[in-house]
Amino acid sequence: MEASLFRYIWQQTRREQLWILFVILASMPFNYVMLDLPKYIVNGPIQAKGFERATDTQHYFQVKIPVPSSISEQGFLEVLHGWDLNRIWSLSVLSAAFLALVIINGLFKFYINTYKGRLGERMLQQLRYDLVDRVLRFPPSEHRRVKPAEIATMIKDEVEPLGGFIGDAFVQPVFLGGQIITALIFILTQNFMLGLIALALLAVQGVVIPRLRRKQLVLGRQRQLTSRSLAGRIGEIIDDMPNILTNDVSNYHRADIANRLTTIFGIRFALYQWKFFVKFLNNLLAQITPFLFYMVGGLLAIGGHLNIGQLVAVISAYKDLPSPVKDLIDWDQQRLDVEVKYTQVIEQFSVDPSLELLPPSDFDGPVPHLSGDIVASGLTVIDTASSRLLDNLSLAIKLSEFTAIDGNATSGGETLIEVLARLVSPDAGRVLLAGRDLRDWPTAVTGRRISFVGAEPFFAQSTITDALLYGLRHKVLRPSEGSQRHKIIKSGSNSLDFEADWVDYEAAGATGPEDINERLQATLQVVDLEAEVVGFGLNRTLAEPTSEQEQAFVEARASFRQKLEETGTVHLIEPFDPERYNVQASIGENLIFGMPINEAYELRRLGSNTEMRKILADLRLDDTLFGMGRAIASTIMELFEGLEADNPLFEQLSLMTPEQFPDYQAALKRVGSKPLRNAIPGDQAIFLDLAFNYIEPRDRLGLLDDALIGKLVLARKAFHQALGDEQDKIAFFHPDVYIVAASVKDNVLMGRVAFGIAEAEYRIGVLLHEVIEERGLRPAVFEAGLSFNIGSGGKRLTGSQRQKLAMARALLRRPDFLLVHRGLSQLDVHGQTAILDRILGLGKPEDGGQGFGVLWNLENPQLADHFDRIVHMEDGRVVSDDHHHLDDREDASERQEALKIPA
Amino acid sequence: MGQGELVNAFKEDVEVLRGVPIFASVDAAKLKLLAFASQRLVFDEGQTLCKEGERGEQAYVIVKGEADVFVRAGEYDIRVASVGRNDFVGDIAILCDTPRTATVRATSRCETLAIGKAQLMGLLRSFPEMSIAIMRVLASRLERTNHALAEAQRLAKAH
Repeated sequence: MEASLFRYIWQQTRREQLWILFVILASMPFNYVMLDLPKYIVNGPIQAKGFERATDTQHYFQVKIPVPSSISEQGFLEVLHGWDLNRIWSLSVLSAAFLALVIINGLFKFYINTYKGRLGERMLQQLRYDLVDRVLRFPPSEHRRVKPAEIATMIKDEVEPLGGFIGDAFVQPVFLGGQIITALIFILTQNFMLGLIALALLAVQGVVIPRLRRKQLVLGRQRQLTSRSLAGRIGEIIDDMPNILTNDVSNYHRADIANRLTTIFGIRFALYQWKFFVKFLNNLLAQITPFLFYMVGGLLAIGGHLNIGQLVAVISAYKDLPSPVKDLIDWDQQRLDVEVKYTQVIEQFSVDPSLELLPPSDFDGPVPHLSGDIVASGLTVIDTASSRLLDNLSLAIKLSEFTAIDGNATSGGETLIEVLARLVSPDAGRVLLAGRDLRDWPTAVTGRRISFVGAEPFFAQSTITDALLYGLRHKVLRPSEGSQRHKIIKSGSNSLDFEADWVDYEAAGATGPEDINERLQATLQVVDLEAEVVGFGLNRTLAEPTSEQEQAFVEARASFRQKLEETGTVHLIEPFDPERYNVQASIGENLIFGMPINEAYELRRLGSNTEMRKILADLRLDDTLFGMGRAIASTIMELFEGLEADNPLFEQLSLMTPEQFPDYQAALKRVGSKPLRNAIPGDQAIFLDLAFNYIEPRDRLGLLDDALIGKLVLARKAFHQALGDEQDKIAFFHPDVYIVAASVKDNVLMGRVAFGIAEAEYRIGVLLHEVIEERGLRPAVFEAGLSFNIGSGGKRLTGSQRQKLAMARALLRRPDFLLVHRGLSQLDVHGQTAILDRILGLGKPEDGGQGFGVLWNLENPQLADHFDRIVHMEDGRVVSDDHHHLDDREDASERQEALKIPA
Repeated sequence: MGQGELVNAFKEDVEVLRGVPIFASVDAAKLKLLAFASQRLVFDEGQTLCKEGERGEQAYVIVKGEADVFVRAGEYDIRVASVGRNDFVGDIAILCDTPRTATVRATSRCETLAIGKAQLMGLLRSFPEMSIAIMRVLASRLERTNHALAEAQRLAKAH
């Protein structure tokens, strides 16, 4: 990138800068006329100069263009003859002209400001884009050097002030410089002596002040660096939270942060002191000039060398000088500031000159398939501690072969895989891929035809679908309609239409978004993740269920019921019946009897919901429930009296937490034996909510009797009647209605799992899967599972699920070659073997399929038997190389079959 | 709805607990607390309450129904006892923090009161006098086992 900010701006915005300069120049005549016009208005119509008699007129608005006398005898061409106007008309027309000029000038200013703002903002985004573009092109060796939080703060915050400056970068000095020079020339022509004084003081201002400001810049740079490293440190602390906790080092980090903040404070304070000192000096210099004008000019005038008129003119001309000078100095200050920021940022984004940036991933036309060999010769990789990770290693691998690397953590297997994946560049030796140096292959080929799976895959926060399709998003394949936003950023030949469809469905063996899910399902089955995704789907809602699906789910309820009956496990579920109280649900759930859609109807707010309160009052239930809440609270207080808050006995308490005990105690004391209506609204809600949470089989306090249950069902019905049929606040439970807001599982169960039955969840899960499968709902549930959010870094998945997902992603695009470094290390050997067998099965070229080769740095030596060839590595060298059956894979599988028989 | 009724609903759980020898001498308030902090858990015929060798987090007091206790000897499970109302099973694993020493399988529908390890330990920590009561019961159980062992040895010699 350009080392100088000005060159960068000029390069990127030359045309815009020249245009805005032109517009400013074009606005000047209007500005001048507007300043000039009041003189005519005052002198003419107002003071009646030239209108001495009532019938006098003046000629206005004649427009003449001077031309050589050869064309016109008068020496000009008349473009507009103009009009003769009397005094009143003159005043009106001139005032109207003034108003018009005010508007024109305002519009000029509006246009210029908007244009400059837009220019600056666009350039700022362009700069950010260029910086990120650079990061994306960093060679792999740089990846470890950069701290994510620091890069983020640079791109986000540090370049921000540049936006405000870019619009003014060229225009402002030209404009202000012009004003200053005009004023100076005027003063010089009035009186040379005074002109020199003004010039001298300006020179002092222009030389001394910037020098003083240099120290300010040094401080500014320090401030920027310390703030940036603070951001980096905070980022590290967040990443390191588990370690901080397990080592109890939080105080150490507190001290570190406090120390850094103190340093930043010191720098900023020094900065303020210096800044305001310079400001003081600057103001002083600006004020000394008029003093000298009065003094020297006065003396000259007294001595008769200068007339009073000139002195007044000079002083008034000087009035116009300080403000542009001050603006220019401010501009200069800003320039220095942003230049420092720019250089600081650019430094961080430049790499060692010996390293090359990756070329941008532009590749037109179809990406060729890879075949042939990978030949590594004399590969040496030395790490920063100068130990040899690879030591003059030579190895040839067929791209169609299944090769295993066997060795311990220091064998160099990992490094070899990373070299082949282009994540590590060798310090010596080279790799030929299909006869061409690996470095010379475009990343478009290696990044699409070779898949790499590491031991600790990382995922950005996304859905499972997006995580899987990630490896298929290389370029825009189907442009979107409309969106033009990307055109603001210049980006070489790439189309940066983010809204477009980027997914290369064909690479995955699908034809488009319609049938990609089948491929996703097949691929997830290979890695044993499909059933888990269906499991996620059971707990999710369907995004847009079709009416057939809704119907199928409603019917599935009956099948599920039937299965319960067949297995004699009807007691596992208490179904939702609008006519009956569901004892396995809380009182509140029984009253709402549906899924709250509007926040005000959520269970935790029910005690203060006015509609519900009115219905409860009508049925005289509110007093009963209030008394019930109070009884629950006092019973619990009595039972748990004297126990410390960390006692495990509290874990079994579902109705409240030990932290809430004092609140309940206080509320009990306030309420005493008062009835509901005498308690304050807060206490009413507290005890009502406690009663709403009560579930008889869970809490076993024996608080429900038939009379109460009957009234609660009445209240439910009244509540539903009050809300009407619209269901926009609550989606009511009904055996024949699909509830969009409820999960797939809840929609099939349409009831509550009973408390206190051993392994109830497990037994229900088994039946649920059966019903989903039989009713043909599995694809829909699978699709819902695909939209599961895997969390930042994929942290909502387990370690083994992450590894499976990464493997699925690598397989989905049907690579020509698969590189794996302990990609299934978190699974047990049983799972590893099953998945490996399926992957190698896919790799065999059958039924017109391409097939692929595999190089796998094994997590488990037991897996070696499945490969054609086993390379044993130690200390970065190959120690033995066993070819099982190099050419005849059929034989290999037959032999394995034969071996299996006696076992 | 008064306090009296609330306690009545607990009566069965508390009564069951009182019928268990190790809780027999624990005072009423603490038994109520333990009952409240425990869960009712129903096992159908054939379901296992605990499995030998696995870690256990709960012990069960049988309220209704019956279960058989099996100990693994070589390849076979040998039935060593039958348990019923007021019997406490799975207590060794949670008191001694060891894997289950036996398998318990319900022979009929079995209603139990499941007591969590953490909950029982929490109660013992807060009320040491309860520990003493439990220690007495365990000591007498040991004494009985010693007697049984001596008897078994005597019988073995006699053969």
